[in-house]
Amino acid sequence: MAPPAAPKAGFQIGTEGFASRLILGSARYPNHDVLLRALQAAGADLVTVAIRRVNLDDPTGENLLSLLQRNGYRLLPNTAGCHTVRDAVVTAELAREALGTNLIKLEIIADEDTLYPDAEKLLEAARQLVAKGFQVLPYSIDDPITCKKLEDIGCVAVMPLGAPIGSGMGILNPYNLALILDKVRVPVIVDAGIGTASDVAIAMELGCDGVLLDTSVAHAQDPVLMAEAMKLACEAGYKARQAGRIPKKNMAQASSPRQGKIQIGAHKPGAPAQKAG
Amino acid sequence: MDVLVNGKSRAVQDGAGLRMLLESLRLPSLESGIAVCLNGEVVRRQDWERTALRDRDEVEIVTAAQGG
Repeated sequence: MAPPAAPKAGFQIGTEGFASRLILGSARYPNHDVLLRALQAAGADLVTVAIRRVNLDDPTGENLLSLLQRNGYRLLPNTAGCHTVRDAVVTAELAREALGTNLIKLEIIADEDTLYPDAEKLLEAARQLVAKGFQVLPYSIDDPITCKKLEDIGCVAVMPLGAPIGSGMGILNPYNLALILDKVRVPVIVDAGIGTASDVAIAMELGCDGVLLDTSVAHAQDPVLMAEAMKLACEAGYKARQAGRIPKKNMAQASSPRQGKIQIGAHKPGAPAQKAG
Repeated sequence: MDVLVNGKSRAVQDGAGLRMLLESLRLPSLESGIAVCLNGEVVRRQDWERTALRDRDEVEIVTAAQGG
């Protein structure tokens, strides 16, 4: 079956265009069937994958890659599990060689409890990968200075966390995200920490260009329904942003006009009307 | 000679090349979807044919897997 015609691409990352601003991870799903149905419900175009050893004991086993490609999904490989610059760079090269894409989600983790990115190594790995022709999407702390440095290095997007990976705490620091949005010109994609649909809407209303999420859908009680909720939230938040919200005010402002309001005056309620004449 | 393939020791013919090793592994496809690292360096597909293996070489063969 031929893949469906590519939808109009409204979301540009580097040289690549996508119709959906929601990027989904492929991890932690109970099985491939649920994964596929969730991806469809989310309306995602781009899906992240990790790079791991082929299972040589069962090399012809169920193949995630062919499943995703057959269903028309584009792939964003990641450097998950890498703790050093060299590991991340080699993993990215392997990903490009295996999948034929130069997109790479760059993550180098410093700490196993928080899974926080190691900013120093991230910057160095980003430099090396940009020099090798990769389109780098770095998973970063929500620090505007680091994000600006990543942009200056030549990353095609920045991906600040909303909260630690898998924590479901949502957008912990909207102020920082606003600072990042103010400082950088490349797409800002919130990556990590999303818990539920409203978190996605908040990110998009702030002005983010996209959201990357995984656990919030894969571990929801009904992943397919949650995927649909995320899709709607992403669209709602994006449109609300485009529509231009009212400013917040401290004092009330009546919405109904005063002009034309009737005057009841001093008449007592229940008193008979005066006779004419 | 013995080479390490995805962390496990494997006996291979003396003088065997990388391509020959890959062909012996019954992978679903060699044309796309996998990549190979030899002693920490990526070996591009077009170079598999002319890459020789030596005793105690370390080969990593990778593909896409579930990831966030």
